[in-house]
Amino acid sequence: MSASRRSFLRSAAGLALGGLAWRSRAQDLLPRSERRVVVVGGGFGGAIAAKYIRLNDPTVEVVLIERKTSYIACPFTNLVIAGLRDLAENTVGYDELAARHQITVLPTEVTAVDPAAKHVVTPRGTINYTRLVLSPGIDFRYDEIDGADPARTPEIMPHAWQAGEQTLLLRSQLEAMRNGGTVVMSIPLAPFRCPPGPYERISLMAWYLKKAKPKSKIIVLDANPDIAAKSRLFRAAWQQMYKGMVEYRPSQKVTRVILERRAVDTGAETIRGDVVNLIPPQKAAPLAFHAGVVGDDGKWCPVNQVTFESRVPGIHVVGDACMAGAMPKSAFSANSQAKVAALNMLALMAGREPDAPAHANVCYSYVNDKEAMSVAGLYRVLGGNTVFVPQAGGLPTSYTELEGIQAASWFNNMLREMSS
Amino acid sequence: MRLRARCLLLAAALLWPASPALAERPSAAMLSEACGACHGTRGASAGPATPIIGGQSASYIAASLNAFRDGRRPSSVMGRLAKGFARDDYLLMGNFFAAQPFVPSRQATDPALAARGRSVHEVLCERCHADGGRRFEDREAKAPGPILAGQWLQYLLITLNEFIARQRPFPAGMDEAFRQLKRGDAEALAHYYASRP
Repeated sequence: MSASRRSFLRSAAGLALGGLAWRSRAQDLLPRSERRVVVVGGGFGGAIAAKYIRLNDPTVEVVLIERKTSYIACPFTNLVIAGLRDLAENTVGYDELAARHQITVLPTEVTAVDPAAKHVVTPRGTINYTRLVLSPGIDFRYDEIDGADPARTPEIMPHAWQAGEQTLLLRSQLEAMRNGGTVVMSIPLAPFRCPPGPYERISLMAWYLKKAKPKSKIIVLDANPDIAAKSRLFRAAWQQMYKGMVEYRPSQKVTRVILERRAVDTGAETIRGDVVNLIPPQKAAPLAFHAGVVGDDGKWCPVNQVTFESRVPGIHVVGDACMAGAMPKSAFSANSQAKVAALNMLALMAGREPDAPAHANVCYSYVNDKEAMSVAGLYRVLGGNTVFVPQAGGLPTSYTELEGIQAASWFNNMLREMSS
Repeated sequence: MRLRARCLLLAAALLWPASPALAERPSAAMLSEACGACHGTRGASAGPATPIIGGQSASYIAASLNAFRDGRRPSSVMGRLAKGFARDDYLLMGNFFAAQPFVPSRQATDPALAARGRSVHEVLCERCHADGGRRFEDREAKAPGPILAGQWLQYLLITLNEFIARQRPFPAGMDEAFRQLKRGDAEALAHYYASRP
């Protein structure tokens, strides 16, 4: 059975579940409201959508549903893996966001969405919405790798592509590895969350190994034909600082894993690692499948590029799970999409014309403990598709310490904006 | 794969109810809210190397964007980003941020350096950076300038360094003031402004 067929059946099952929940008609958790936006998912997309709806129209009630009481952000976790940062510095709560903007934050889970009844179902009751925003994040397509499964594989071959325990597991595996060991990293075909992320991780793992275990080696199996982001600068960094340590192999797709041997297989070759960082191919998180907003590719959510409304009327999708034309799947993109969605959702609710979207994306990658490099881009909608503004953007001439300082400042603001 | 995705998008677009006609250019809020990810919500930056732009004058913000665009002012990403906006957009964004409050940073500064900076400021800078840097007074109507009091220390140090290293031209009058700075005066000035909430 093909992956997309399996995904389709799963989403069909999700829809059936939604129907059932609707029929059982659980109790309303909150009094019904005619001007309420429910946001599900408290990451860079969801938290910002909730906040900017309130900032732009304080008469609209906003409910933010997030199952965790604090959020561990992904950017800068490659520094944690290199031993340069504490994961606590990446963790924020929701109290200040809720109090400042009078957002109702509910630490619960959405088990089903009923677009006909316009409510979401949680174990604590149902909540009606005027419009619904989903910012569900990602899940992994382990089903495309023979011998891999979502439960056991990440415990042995951590992906560390969602921040938290996985980040710490990869860190502890690197710490436990002998000097002279081999780290194998597998990068999936684009699109995936954070295009420069794998290459920043290679650089920072190499920085750590060069210092602590200099006889070690990193073998990179990249399913893509070339480094997917900032390629010129990453290549220069590896050449200049980590020569002989990083072995980069393009167009190498891992199709099978042998967990007990800690080995990966590309069809042409089986490679054993002392540490294996298997970053699987990705798709939208299960919530998107439950809500029926995933596209026919069975992976991502197509959206109207102006309003971020999905194929299901009244449900908007932002962040990594959505397809926003040329925009990369990044924390900054999620922030930008959430703001556009907030403004234009309010326009739809008020019967006004939506505004022409103006997006930005900025992110920094470190290549060692001090130096970093930025990428910047602006995006507009042309003929219904989100496109890169060719006059703007691009890379700096090199990685520098000043860019490293700017990177830290950038992340302070990113975290602060979503949590206050 | 990409073609397939595009076809799907096209098909999906056909299924959607027709969108109302779009406003041709993004509004001031649309353009400006995106800046918040780096500059803080409504320009109240929480990042020590990123300036607070909420509450700065529209003309100063527009002039800064023009200088970034033309390469007259060094930057991390601003030089690249400024090129992607129409020059009319600069004033829209300038007006948006000028209407926001200037939220001063809370940060530790060195009291001895701040005291020295105050003396330097009173002799050389107060004329335009009035009220200890809380206001900018364009006495000769030559160029707009920023609020400095309460700005981030790290940003002030980086910016003063750009002037000292001749990486950007001095606005009118500032070259004379800089010629009179002694070693360590610039750092002291930064501590003085950063210490004033």
